[in-house]
Amino acid sequence: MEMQREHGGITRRSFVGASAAAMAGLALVGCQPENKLEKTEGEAAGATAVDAELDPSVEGKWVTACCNNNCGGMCLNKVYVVDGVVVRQKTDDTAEDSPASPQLRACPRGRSKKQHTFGADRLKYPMRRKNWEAHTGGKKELRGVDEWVRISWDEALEIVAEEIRHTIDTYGNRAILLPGQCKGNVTKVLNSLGGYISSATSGSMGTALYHSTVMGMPLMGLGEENDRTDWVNADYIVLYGCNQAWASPGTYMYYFNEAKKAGVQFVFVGPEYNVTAAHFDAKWIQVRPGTDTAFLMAVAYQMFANDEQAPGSVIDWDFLAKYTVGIDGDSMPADAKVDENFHDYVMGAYDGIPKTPEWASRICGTPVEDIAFYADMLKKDNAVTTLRSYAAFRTNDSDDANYLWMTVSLMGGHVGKPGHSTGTAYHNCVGSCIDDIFFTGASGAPAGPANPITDVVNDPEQWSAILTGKFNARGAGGLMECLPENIKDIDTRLVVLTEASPLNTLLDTTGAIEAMRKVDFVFATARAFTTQARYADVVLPVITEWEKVGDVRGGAAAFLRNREALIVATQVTEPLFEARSDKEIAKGLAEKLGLDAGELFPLSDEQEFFNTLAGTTMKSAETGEPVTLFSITQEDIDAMGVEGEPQEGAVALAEVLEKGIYKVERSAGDAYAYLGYQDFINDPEANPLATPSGKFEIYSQTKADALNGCGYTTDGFVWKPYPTYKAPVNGYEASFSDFEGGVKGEYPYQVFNPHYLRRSHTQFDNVPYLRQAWPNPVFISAVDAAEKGIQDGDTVRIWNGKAQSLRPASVTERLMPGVVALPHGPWVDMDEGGIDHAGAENLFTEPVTSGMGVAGYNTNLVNFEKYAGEALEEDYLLPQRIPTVEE
Amino acid sequence: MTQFGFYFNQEDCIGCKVCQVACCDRNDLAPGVTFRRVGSYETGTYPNATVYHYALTCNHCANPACVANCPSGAMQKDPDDGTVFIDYKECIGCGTCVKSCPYGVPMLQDDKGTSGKCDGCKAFRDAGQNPVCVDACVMRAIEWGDIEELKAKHPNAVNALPILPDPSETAPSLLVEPKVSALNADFRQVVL
Repeated sequence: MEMQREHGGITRRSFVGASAAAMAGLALVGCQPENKLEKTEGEAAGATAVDAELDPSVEGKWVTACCNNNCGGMCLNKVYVVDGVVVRQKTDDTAEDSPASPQLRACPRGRSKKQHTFGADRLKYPMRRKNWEAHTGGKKELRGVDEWVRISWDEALEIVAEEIRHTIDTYGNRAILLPGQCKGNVTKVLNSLGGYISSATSGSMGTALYHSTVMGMPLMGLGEENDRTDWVNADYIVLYGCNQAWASPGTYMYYFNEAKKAGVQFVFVGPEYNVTAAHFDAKWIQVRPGTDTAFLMAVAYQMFANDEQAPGSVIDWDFLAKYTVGIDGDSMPADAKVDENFHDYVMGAYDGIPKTPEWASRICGTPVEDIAFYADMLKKDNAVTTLRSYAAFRTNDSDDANYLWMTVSLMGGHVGKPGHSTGTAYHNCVGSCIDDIFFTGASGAPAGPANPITDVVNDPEQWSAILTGKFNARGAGGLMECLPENIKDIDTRLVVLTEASPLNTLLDTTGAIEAMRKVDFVFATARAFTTQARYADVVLPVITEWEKVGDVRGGAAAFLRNREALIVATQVTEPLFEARSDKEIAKGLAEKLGLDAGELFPLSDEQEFFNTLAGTTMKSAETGEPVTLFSITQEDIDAMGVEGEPQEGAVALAEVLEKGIYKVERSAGDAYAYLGYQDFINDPEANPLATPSGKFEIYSQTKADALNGCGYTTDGFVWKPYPTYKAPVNGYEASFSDFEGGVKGEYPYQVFNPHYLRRSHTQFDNVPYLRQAWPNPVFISAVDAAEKGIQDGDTVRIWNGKAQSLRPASVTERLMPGVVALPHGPWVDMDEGGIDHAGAENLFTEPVTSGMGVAGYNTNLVNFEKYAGEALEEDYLLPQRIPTVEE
Repeated sequence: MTQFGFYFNQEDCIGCKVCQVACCDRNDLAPGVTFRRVGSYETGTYPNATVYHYALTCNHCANPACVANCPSGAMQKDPDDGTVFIDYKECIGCGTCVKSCPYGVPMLQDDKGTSGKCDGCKAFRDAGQNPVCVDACVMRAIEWGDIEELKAKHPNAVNALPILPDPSETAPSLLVEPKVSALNADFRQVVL
């Protein structure tokens, strides 16, 4: 395994002295015995010898490095690069730190990226499975356990191209499946050849994806929150399932902390009193996973009841009349088909069951007095800002939880006023995906041909589709297009695993592995030996973001953004080893398949980077209109080696390339201040919501018709136009064999999957610093642990009908009894007996599709026990995951 | 004598461990070795429990047990700023400091054959910069400076907590703005 680069200009001794482990990074980072560094004679052993960036004899430079990972934090990383190797990291120090313009400081994941890019476990060259054979796959059952053979890029591309060609010629394009959300440039190649079957997902958002616009919220219920400068105006900030301290800690926890210091009372809703809740000394409202519909229904009941005691003191009836339809029989929308309404349902008029706190508490586990607290908190005179993650909505049959969650806020009028806000705080959107300030330019890369195949498999079904040959095709026309009678045949022969981590992050990893062992060919792109790589036939090494020519992060269209900043990262190092970019790989395939690669990919990476920068605009604080952001000179253009015209803008491009960041300063009431739904609230006639009534629809005929038309609800339940209660598939009730009798079932524990600070989804699971800092236990309530005789650190076996995993126990008093928290995203690690040692949570998730097509990650059931076998070693002490490859 | 040390605002710490990781990066530490490490502690019982964090590192004590017990003379106290540091040329890796420190701060570094611990990023300070953990903290919860000046700036900060040994043992140059729950003597360390 030779290194690609000479270390000219720097001797090994000075380099090791400068930063031993960083140098070691190229070939040595990790904990294999051979990685140990030997004492160098004359060097002060163990010393932190001269820091490279302080050593005048070392030639290096600080570079702004992309923190591209999928947490949403968008922080600033700077790296000190010596001869193409990163020897040190730091974070944002580009300007004075203040609440008006805080430094965007990176979390431990960002600070560990050196070990991600330069880790000993980087895949260095293409490889194929040893027992693979052309067209049939050879010994397919060995996928996941086979050995590997090093191959050249030419051979790798030839194999993949030939398998694509053979699959299309023999079985047609419908035999190709691209699962997952991020598919990369290979789609342009496949679409040119007749397309493939893709998968759709409700992903992180669950029911919020399908239902938010139906009710009158923005897409995903995201983008109409009050701006972060308004948070100090709230009496209460409710974090509904949020855990920013683990999910995207940097700047967002800092923002929230400003509100805490201003005296805002925090409230947290969820099954675990998480670190974020504890940090803000939040009042804990316990709600079991997947039972939010019951909880919120009782909150509504209590608000109605309180308001009856003192009419008009709790519910903002004027607000409801002006901005909503369907709260009661006096406010029905024109398109209503059912002569029933929300208020009367809640009070028990139709089923004889008043949805009282006592009724709910039995299901959701929330103490009655906490439901009363929550209802009282939401009264109209309190300024309440409710921000949610999607955890509660990424559950089976939670379609009405999404409506209810908004409804109880609307009842108190908590929208569009200072301190009053109802929206989402998730990923990159924590008071930040509103009224965008930055707009990045287009790269100029052509979109390529559309996929001629419009059948889409809903992702909970994608593995069973492979295994059974049948699936319920969604249309490609939009979120609401469910086609219940559209059961189609599918004969998947070739699976493409590029860019995303569908085997590990989507429902039913157990089914995914079985499916991978059925098809004829699987290829993956990967940086390390991920789950995708492990179960593939051919693995193509792809570069990291640090090896790209540059990247612009932020802006309205970006997946990763911070409203107040734009980050411009530049290349840290040339592609390492034999890794190629996703685009280069697609180009190579296009050429092998006889396509015009120049037409599909006409621009250089440099030109695309330049175009993005040149087209970037920002909303002017003075006029509110977009203005060109970067001044670009002919020298800039020449230096980048691209074609373009000089332009005038707000700031010199060279300055931002040097600094790596451009930020706007904020203050309360400034030009960028924003209140959610402000146009609608100011003038609902002129700015109606995108619903049939133009208002928020607590009664939505559209919703009922869509849900009942979808065909995914198969237990006879009929959805009403107003929110009602449905016991979810695999929810709390299903943990009993006899719910009424209180008899627990075979899998009596609910499991949910918190985002965990070791990782961003599956990214970073292989990084040594993070594996050491975050050991990834399974969290078990102290009550349950005592019943089972489990102590902190004991190895625990978790199982259900799908799989079994081992994890060390972390026994906690902050978790509801009956609930197990298994962190999201570890890479599947099966032993020979079929027991996973990583705690890969989707091994346990059932491939259930509910409601309008939702994948319900947080409604699954397991059992667990103290493990009788050998105790687990700590993850960071295990050998790094490096496949054995025949040269 | 001038005495430098750390101020730690526990009220603002979210337990993210970026200080620990940034310290590992700066000091190129081998797996298992940390010069700053974050622990988490629970108090109370369900459903009235909570959790807080403590970022442990060298307290640059006025009466350091590690210095007093070091057989090789490698562990020393800087006469100018009172920081406690290891002269790695002299360290024989015997582990006496590891056993002596009531805070459990120094660690043996098998890969280097010495012990190791925080020196307050002396090289950075000599270059006019902060210790790496100070500028890494996403919550701005760590400060470094003359401990008397820090005391004046943070009059409510303490150097004793239930999770820490009695400060009379070594007179730590430590200031902690305690989270209320961290004053509860009934705590248990938890793995997060």
